[in-house]
Amino acid sequence: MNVRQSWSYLIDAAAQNQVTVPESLLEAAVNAGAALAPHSVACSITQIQRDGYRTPAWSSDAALQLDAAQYRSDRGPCVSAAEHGTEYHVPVISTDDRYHELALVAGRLNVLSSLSMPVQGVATPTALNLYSAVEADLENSRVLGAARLLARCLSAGMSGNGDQSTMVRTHPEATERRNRVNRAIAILIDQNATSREIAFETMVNHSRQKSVTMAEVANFVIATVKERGDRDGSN
Amino acid sequence: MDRTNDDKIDLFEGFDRLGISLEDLWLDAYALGGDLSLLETEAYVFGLLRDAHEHNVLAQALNERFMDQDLDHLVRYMTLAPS
Repeated sequence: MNVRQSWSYLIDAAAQNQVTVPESLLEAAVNAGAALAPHSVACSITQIQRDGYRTPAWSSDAALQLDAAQYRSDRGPCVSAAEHGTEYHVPVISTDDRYHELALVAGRLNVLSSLSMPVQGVATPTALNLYSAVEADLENSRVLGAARLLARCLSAGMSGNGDQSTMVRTHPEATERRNRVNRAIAILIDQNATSREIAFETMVNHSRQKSVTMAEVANFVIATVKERGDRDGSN
Repeated sequence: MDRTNDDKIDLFEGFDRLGISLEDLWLDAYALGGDLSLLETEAYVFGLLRDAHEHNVLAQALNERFMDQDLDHLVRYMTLAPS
């Protein structure tokens, strides 16, 4: 599975109200997580089980070594995120006094920062761990947002409780506009023997050139056809 | 002056700059005929899924918000793959 396929798999899994095959889900998650930030180098999943810590999925040996250092010392962002259910950011591992053992291993592997996200709503305390080769690489809002989405997908897939945020209410006015746009698209498909995507692109180009909304473009397309029909009918 | 596609911003920057909610963006895209779920919309915003047509529906939804602020189409569209 490449990164995009992993994301598609995770999004699909999160939308289901059933537990996804754990191995495939965890593999997709570390696959996606290892490419999340510009300088990401590794991703792993930590679980706290009765007999101790465990890494059920990892993207590389480096991820395993980084996790193991934290398990040995019983201290580290991955352990804390799983245990306390909160995010742990370590923008500069080498200068963080809390995680000496992790800093030694990270220094050897050229890993400079990490982010551990709790996976909420699952029976076994779980965290998703991201590691980067650049300081503070995992701090910006784009990376954080994507990491939170990844942790939510994992949570939904592992628990079998479909992500509740997939439900959103439509408005009658929006549905009316949608119907009009779809009608205009259908007209263009028919007129130009083209695909839905190309018809939409044609309308976008019109919107850009005239600085009008798609609803206005749709009205124009529908009105033109109606006008033509009226004219043909009156002849 | 017209912006070239390279000058434009991506979905995340557009979404971030407008400060709208994900639900608002989803509803705008729905009104344009978009077929994504809310979760998929979020993944597109972060650049994690990339079907060109669905991307362009979201780009248009954001651009119409910018048009309301008298700003031209700021968000970059993707070129459709040849069929």
